[in-house]
Formats: sequence, C-alpha cells, structure tokens
Amino acid sequence: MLEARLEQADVLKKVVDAIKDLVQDCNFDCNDSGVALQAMDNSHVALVSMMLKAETFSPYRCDRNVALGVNLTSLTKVLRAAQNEDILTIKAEDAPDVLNLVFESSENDRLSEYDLKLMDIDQEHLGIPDTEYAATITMPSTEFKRICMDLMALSESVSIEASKDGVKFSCSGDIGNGAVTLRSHNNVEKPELNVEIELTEPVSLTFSLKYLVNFCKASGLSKSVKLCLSNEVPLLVEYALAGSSYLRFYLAPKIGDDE
Amino acid sequence: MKTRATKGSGKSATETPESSKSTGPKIPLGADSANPLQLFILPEGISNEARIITLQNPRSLEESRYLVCPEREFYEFKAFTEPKTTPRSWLLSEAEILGKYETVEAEFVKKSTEPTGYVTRNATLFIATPIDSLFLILPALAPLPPSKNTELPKKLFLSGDDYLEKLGFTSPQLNSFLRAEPIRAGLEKRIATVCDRVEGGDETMYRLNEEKLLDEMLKKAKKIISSGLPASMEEKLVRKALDVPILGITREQSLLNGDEVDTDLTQPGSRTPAADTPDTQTTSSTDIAASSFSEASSAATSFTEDFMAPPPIQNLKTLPIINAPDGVADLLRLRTAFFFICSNYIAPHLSETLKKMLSSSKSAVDFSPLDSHLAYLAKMRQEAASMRSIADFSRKRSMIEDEDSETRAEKKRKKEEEEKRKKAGESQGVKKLKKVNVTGMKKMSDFFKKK
Repeated sequence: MLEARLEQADVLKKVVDAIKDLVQDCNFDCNDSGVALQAMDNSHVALVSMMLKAETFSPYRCDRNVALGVNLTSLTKVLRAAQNEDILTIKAEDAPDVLNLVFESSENDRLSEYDLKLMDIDQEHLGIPDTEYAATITMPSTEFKRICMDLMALSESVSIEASKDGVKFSCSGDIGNGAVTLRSHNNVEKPELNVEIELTEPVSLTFSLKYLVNFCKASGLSKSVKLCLSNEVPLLVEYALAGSSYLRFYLAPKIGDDE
Repeated sequence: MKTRATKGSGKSATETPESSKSTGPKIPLGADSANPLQLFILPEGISNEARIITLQNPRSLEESRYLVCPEREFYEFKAFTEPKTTPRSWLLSEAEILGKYETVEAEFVKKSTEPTGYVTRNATLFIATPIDSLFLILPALAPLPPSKNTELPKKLFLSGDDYLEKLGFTSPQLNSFLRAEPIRAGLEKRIATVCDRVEGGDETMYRLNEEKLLDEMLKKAKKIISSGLPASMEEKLVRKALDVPILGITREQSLLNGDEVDTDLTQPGSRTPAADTPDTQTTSSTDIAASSFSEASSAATSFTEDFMAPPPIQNLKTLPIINAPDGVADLLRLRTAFFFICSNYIAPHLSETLKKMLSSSKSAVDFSPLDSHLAYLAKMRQEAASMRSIADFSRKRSMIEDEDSETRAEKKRKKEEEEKRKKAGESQGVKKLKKVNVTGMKKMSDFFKKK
C-alpha cells in the first residue's frame, strides 16, 4: 500500500510536465525512501533521474516497493485537473492496476478523485556513479533557459567552455554565430541571481541545444540550476527541489566536428 | 447501371446487336425471374422416361441431383463455371430465328422486337456425364458405423434386393426407377463385382469385399492414366511432386543418379526452384486440383466400354522429361487417379480403409519405390530450402511462411494497432526529439553501467 500526500500539487505537475517531453512511458519506483524515476529518451542519449524524497510528502507511507508504470501524457491529463495549490494524495495497492489521485482544495472543500490505469513497462536501470566534475556552474534557471533559447535560433548545438574567466556558451550556424559569457557573480540582495563557477580544470564540450531546451522546461521547479561538466562524460543539469529531492538530466556530449 | 443492361437477365437485353441499334437501349429491363433458366447438355438418345432426380451423393452423403435414364444408366452433373474475373452469360434464343436470319430478314426484325430470347445471369453449364452406378450403391453396401467409436457392424450377406431397398430408403426418388429392369440389373451386376457371393436357395446373397472394391477402383485409376491424366493434374500433382530441386553445383555432382545431373545441366529451365514448388502432398491436394477436372471424372466413372471421347492427351513430347526412376511417375499417376476417385466418389470412412489397404504391403500394386523416391525428394527439397534461406536474400518469403500468411497479416495488423496506440500517448516534445540529430552522441549506457 502506497499513500503519499503532497501539500502542493504543482510540484508533481511541474515534474511530470518537464519529463513528459523527454520520455513517453516510465516507472515511478516507490520505496520507503521516496518516489524515484529514471528514464531515457527514445534515442538513449539523454537520461532523466528524479527523486522525490519521503520528506517531500506528509505523510508518506510505502509498505512495499512498487513500480507504477505510467504513460506520462495520460498522467499530465489527469494532473491538469488539479489546481496548483490543491493538496494531492496518490494511492496505490501493493500490486496495483491503477494509480489513485485525489485533489483536495482547502479553499472550497472540493474533492476530486481520479484513477489512472497503469501499464507494465520493461525498463533497465543504469547505475549512475557519484562523479567529481571538472566544472560546476550554478546559475539562475531562467538565465540558462534564456541562453539556450537565444542560441537555439542560430544553431542546433552549443559549445560550453568553462575556464577561470567564466563560462562561455557559443554556437555558430548558417546565419552567423553567437556567444554568451557569464562570470562569477554575487548578488547579496537576491542570492538566487548568483552565478557560481567551481573549477578544477578547464572544460569544453558541445551539446545538442534541442535537448537542453527540453531540460529547461523544468525551470519552474527551481530558481537555480546546476550544470556539471567533465570531459568525456555526460553533462548533468540539476534542478534542486525542496528537501533533498531533485530532478536531474544527463546529456551525452557531441563528439567529433559535424557542425 | 449501364453495365447491368448487358449482364442482367432482363428480357429486353436479349436483342441481337442489330435490333438494339434500331431501338436504342431504352427498353426497360424485365424483372429478374425467380427461377432462372439453366443450361444443360444431356447425353444423346436418352429415353423420354429419363428424369433428373435427387440421390444421395456417395461422397458427402448429402443430396445431389443426378440424371437417371431407365434404359441406360446414371449420369452425374458437372458444372462448368466461367471464371469470376471474366463474367459471361448465355444468350438463349429460339433456334428458328437464327436459322431464318439470312433468308427471312423482315420476319426476323419483326420477331426480334418482341422479347423471345433469354440471357442467363452467368455462364454456368451443366454437363451430364456417365457415373458408375457402383458408386451410388456403395453407401448401401458399406453403411457408416453408427458412431465413431463403435466397430463396424458385423457385415451380413444380404440379397441384392435388400441393398436396393436400402438405396431406395436414402434416395426415395429412385424407387420408381428401381422397378425398371435395365437399371435393376445394372445395379445388381455392379454389386456382384465388388462383393463376396453366396447362393442361398434361389437367391444370391452379397457382402461387400473391400479387396474386390480396391481392385475395381485400381482398374478405374489405371484406366484414367492409360489415356493420360488431364494436363493440369499432371502438372500440379505429378510433375511438381517429382520435381528435383535445384541445388548448388557441388550438391548436384553428389546426386545419386548420374543421369539426373546431365538433364539438370542441359535443361536448366525444366524445373522450378524448390521454393516455388509447394511440397505437393498428393493426398491433401487431390481434392482441390481434381474438382475442376471433369475429364478425369468421366473417365473414372464410366465403366462402360463405349466411352465416347478420350480426354485430350497432352503432348508429352513438348514437356520436359520427368526426372525419376522408371515407373515412379506412373505409380504416382496411378495413386493420384486413385485418390481422385476416393476423394470424389467414395465416402470418407470407406476411402480411408481403401487408402490404408493400398499403402499396405498386401495391395496389388507396390508403391514402395514411389514412397522412397518421394521421401528422397522431400529431403532434397528441405536441404535446398535451407540452403536458399541462407544464400538468397532476394526472396524474403520462404515456402513455409507462405502457408501462414494469414496469421502474419493478423500480426501485422496488431502491430500497427499497437503502434497507433503508442503514438497517441506520445507528447509533442517526444515527437520533436525524434528528429534531433544525435550523431556524435554516445548512448547513455556507454557512460553508465546497467544495474
């Protein structure tokens, strides 16, 4: 029996919204530490890993590990029926056929209840090791989104160069080229606008902008985003959630100059 | 609607081209007649007493129509139907009109404006061909066992009259003809040929003897093949069954028979590749191929010596020589003809017995050379097929797959449906990402190990 109550429905709404454009069906793996999700896109070049810790919910109860196989488009449809401020409760049996979602509005005592049919999804889980990245950049999520959108107008891929001077996003396309450089920046009044760059060695990697733009759909979840880069390993884009929950995206770098 | 005017069975459509020119196509069509005319070709010189009656079909034990002439014999009807792809019909017209056409034109024109002819809806033609009355009496001689599990009832000696009475019971319309002496005598004579006889007082008693029946059927089969099997039966059931598959050159050199190698090389077009040759199981396919051949059936069923026209014998010289040991082809022809008779005229339970007897070692004809040759060919074909599947990628369908094409179509449909459902659950973003150029990007599994 799984029962998890979320004070604000919009956390789940935004998480699902951000993932649904990357993967179609995936398992929500529930155990006593929380709800986890790991899935790859169709091309298997990007991976999303989500963890909603048990502390995110109040209360959280999960007697037995269950995998809830869900079509994310369908889940979006159901979640659309919830207001952002609704209290959301998800329930499932130990061997569930359906996922039960209840939305409670504290304002007007409205209670809506939905059952979503589950499916069996064969999924392989990848073990993601803790990596010491060569460069870790923290910046406002809106800033990252803006850079990706702007550069997307010019090219399909972006090269991210982190050096001690700052981090440079540059691209070149048919109509010309462009670059955005950010330097470490400390805003005392608004710490969420800080740009922090931690560097052990300079890194330069190229990524598909379309995938990055796709990751940016999670911008609403967190004010800041963390980019972690090392040569020859996937880029990690992490949106920290309340508690120690997170939504992480991994993207394989482009190797070889085919631009 | 235009095409209907030419095809329909309306009376006005019967005008000859000349008259339709003058009157135009505006004549309204008559209603379809509820009982449309059918065209028969009946034997010459049958008596006025001859009738088309309903008898029990000896094979299916259902009711079928037969022509019975009290002075002569029984005739069965064979239907000749036009192929569905080329619809045809018969134009039936009064003979005198056509005869007088040239001389009395005026009268013809006058007459033809009145509907006198008839156009049949389709071009089916029924031909009455002689059938051995033995076949008709067989169900009475060898009745079906009451149920499948029980043994055949103990066979008793019965008088000819008793058998005829039984026959009259299943085919009541025959009763009036059974009084006619020629028919009665003919039937009794046929009973006598396949039965053990016992003289009991002034009456002769009969009991069916399967061995005699087998001999009789073999005689018929031999008669069929003496004038040659019909061309398409020969092609489908004999030639194809004996086809030697083409194997690789190395394989051919190791063939058992040296002569076969020679013909293989000199007549490369003489045979079809193995994949084209469905493994013809003579037993199973006889029904299909045979049903369209009336020549064979008439040969099989006419026991009278004055059989009219022999079936057109194919010009064997133009066909490539069959590559088989001596006599095997004839054995196969004989068996094909025999199975044809069985599958058309003898009830299943009886034909099973006959087939068993035929294949047993006690039978009059030894089929073992044929069997061993067919087994050898089957083995060769299997080898050739397996070689092809490795060597030849241009032919994606193998003969085995052909058989279950239906199941394959169903699978395909299911797959498509599933795909459709999958697509419906796909978001815009997922669709867009499919188009992204991912060259130069490694798979995630290259970086992270599977758990």
